[in-house]
Amino acid sequence: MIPRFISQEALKEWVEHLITQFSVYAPVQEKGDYDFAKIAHAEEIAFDFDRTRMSIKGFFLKPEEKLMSASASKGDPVASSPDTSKRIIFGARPCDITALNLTDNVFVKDFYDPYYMKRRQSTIIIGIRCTEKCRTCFCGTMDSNNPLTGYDIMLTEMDTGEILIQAGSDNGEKLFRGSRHLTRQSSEEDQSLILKTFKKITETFTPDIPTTGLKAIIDLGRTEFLWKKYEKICLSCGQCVFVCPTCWCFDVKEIVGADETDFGNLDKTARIRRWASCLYKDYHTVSGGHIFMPTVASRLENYYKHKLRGIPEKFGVWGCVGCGRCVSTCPVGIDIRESLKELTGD
Amino acid sequence: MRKPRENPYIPFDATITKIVDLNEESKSFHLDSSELRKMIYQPGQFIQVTVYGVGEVAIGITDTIYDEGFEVAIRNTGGRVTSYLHTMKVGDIVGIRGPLGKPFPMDDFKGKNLLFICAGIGFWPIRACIKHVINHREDYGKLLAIFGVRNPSLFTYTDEIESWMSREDMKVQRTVDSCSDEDCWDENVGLITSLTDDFKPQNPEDWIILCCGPPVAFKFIGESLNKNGFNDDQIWVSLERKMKCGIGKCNHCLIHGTRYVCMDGPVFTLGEARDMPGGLD
Amino acid sequence: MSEKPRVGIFGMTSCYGCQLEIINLEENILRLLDHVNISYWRLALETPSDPKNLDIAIIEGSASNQEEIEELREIRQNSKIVITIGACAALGGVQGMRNLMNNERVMSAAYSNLSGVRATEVKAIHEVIKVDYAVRGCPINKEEFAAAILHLLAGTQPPAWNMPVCNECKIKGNECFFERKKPLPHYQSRVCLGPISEAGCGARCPSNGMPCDGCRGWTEDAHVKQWIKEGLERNQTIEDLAMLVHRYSGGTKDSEIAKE
Repeated sequence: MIPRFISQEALKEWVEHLITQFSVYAPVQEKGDYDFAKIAHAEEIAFDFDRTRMSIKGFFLKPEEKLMSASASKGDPVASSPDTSKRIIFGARPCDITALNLTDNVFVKDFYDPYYMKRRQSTIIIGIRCTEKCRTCFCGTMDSNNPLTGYDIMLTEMDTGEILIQAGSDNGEKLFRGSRHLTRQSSEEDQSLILKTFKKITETFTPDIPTTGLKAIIDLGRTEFLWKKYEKICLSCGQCVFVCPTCWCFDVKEIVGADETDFGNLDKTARIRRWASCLYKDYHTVSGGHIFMPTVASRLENYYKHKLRGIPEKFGVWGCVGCGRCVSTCPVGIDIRESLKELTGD
Repeated sequence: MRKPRENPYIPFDATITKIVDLNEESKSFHLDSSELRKMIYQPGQFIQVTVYGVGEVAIGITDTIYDEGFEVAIRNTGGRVTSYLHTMKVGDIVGIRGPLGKPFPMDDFKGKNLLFICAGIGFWPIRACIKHVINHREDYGKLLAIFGVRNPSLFTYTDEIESWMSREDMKVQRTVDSCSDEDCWDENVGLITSLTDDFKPQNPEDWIILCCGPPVAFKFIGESLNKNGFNDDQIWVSLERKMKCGIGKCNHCLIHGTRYVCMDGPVFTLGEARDMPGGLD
Repeated sequence: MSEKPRVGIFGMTSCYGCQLEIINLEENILRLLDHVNISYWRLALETPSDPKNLDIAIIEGSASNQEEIEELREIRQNSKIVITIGACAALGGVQGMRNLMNNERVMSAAYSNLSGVRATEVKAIHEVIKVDYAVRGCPINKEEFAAAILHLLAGTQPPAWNMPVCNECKIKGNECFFERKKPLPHYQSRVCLGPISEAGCGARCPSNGMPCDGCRGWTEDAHVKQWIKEGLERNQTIEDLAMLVHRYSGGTKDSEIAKE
């Protein structure tokens, strides 16, 4: 599709049109922060949002979900089927889309996770490109502010206030069927405008934290000073993990008798999956009491190394997208930007 | 080799057909079902056993293929699942997911002499290797198996070990850490390294060592073998971690950010394990 | 099971709120009664009942005098499984705070006439008798209680996630009360105990606009010292913070940290 332009007013009209066909989730202002919520009108959208409190990972990897139910005596496990009605996430930020591309790899590679992937396939993603840095973000450093895939539509606000529409998939193009009159096709004259805007964006997101040589430094293993330092203050509350768009750890438990329609039937069992955090002691404790990562320092090391060493090796991208959510949520002020600087000796 | 199931989190059912007491804290369970008979697995892989409504536990496979189903050995660690399993009876249903993980590359070991080191219940995964080698005896050179447990009452599959002792094409050594005067025995007493210290073959490079046991033992066994001229890449170990999904998603078994025990292991060379900080904790 | 298991429900020193929560299960309590016979429950049974030969004893409250200690020993002898409900039973509860103070002074402040007062040191139930399972919280989470009973009936241990409240709070997508450099909401000037408190309540207080109260006790690896440091940075006094961390657990946990 040749990129098209839409005015801010027409964009709202288009969203209203989408709401008639899909469930639309968009950032709204709530309790002093932005969060994704299902909207009924385009006015509800907080267009001035920088980033949402939680990333969009919860749309796909549910915070808590039933994987299957079975009979305690006879077995016969039945997988639960995720809700696959078509929905739109409007206003995903580039960093969250980059994170989604990474988690897609995890949940489709080697073993296919039907719960995650079915939700992924039934969701249309409309991204809004950042033109300014937000709060604690450092996405330029983590190369996550310009995802090439993972979205169906990407919107970019031009200097003139007009919005550039780029389709990232066939589904994205189809979304404009019947709404073309709201948009105008771009022409050669627009090239200088587009170039100017994107040049400005590129300059805004120039990497500013050193990452060169990080792999070798981590492999050398002389990183303990940092984990020991953080160990003294970390509360192991795991908040950084839950807000992180690239943390997909979960725990699984079996329960009996809690069936929604047949409460108290002891033969009915369910398998529940729930977000977990590798910073918790219980996460590494096996029956008999052995703890594989007994100290907070070793768990922090595992957390950071997975993002900065393990994921790059396996998937070729950083395991951190630099959204900065962990920085603003950490109750004791541990800052991954500072960690990177300390690790690379800057 | 890995057939993708439609949903890797959902087990298939199997019936417990036989339960044997192995020692005071361990039992073996024979499992059977039509799906299970189709299962192809190799020594060193593991399965996830589900007790419906109780939980799931990762168990190393203790046997090679045979037609009547399948055998797993389980120690009662006092945890939710293993303690419940020990109360289960013949005819009860459990769920199985697997086989999972990378096996010992038995084909790469062809033509080599093999040393099996079985520390404690680490014997069970190695048992699959030993049986595999005995079934394909002509492919391998000399065989030596070393067994070590805390005291004589803790040996498992004793008849089988004794039948291996009587074979002419295989050597077996046993040791116990200690034993009281009443129930002591006439074989070796001392740590498992007291046997590996004395293992000084003429051409160490012709040997492959397969080792399973508590990770802390790997350090000492490794040191003992290094002294006798074996390098870390000849020594293969099977690691253990907390596991939930078994398929590289949940991150429980991630070792210091880089390797999944469930997908990249559980079988590693000692060299690989040493390269992962905390790998032998 | 041919005969239904016999259950007794007992109250020690407490507000009986947890027993009320059981009644609040409404319809689902009937489904529980499909599985058990309640043979003793002073709060809810009309007829005199029999606290002997129990399969499951459910105990609310803390042991706060000699009679209660003796009653508890008797319950233990008469029961196969003992489970406790609520913060008082698991940790000592609010009344446990008096262990940190001078008992005589507390008593004379509370009662004008001390002649009938038999109160001694407050003890959690597990400090007196063996407890097989504890449902925590002030009050208990009734769904969690029902789940615990169902699991015990099925012959297995109830599942525990062993995570701090932050897990459930973030799962619910709540606003964080503990974020740095963020002014505390004026209507609740105390610090949130979520990061060091055991989850299982479904982050009940934070979901309703209040910081966590820590009623389920500290997590296994709670970093209480750092939590207090963070509280001081948020303009709280050491006395207030010490009171918060010991509000439910003064009776059982050592008070070293408060002293420091």
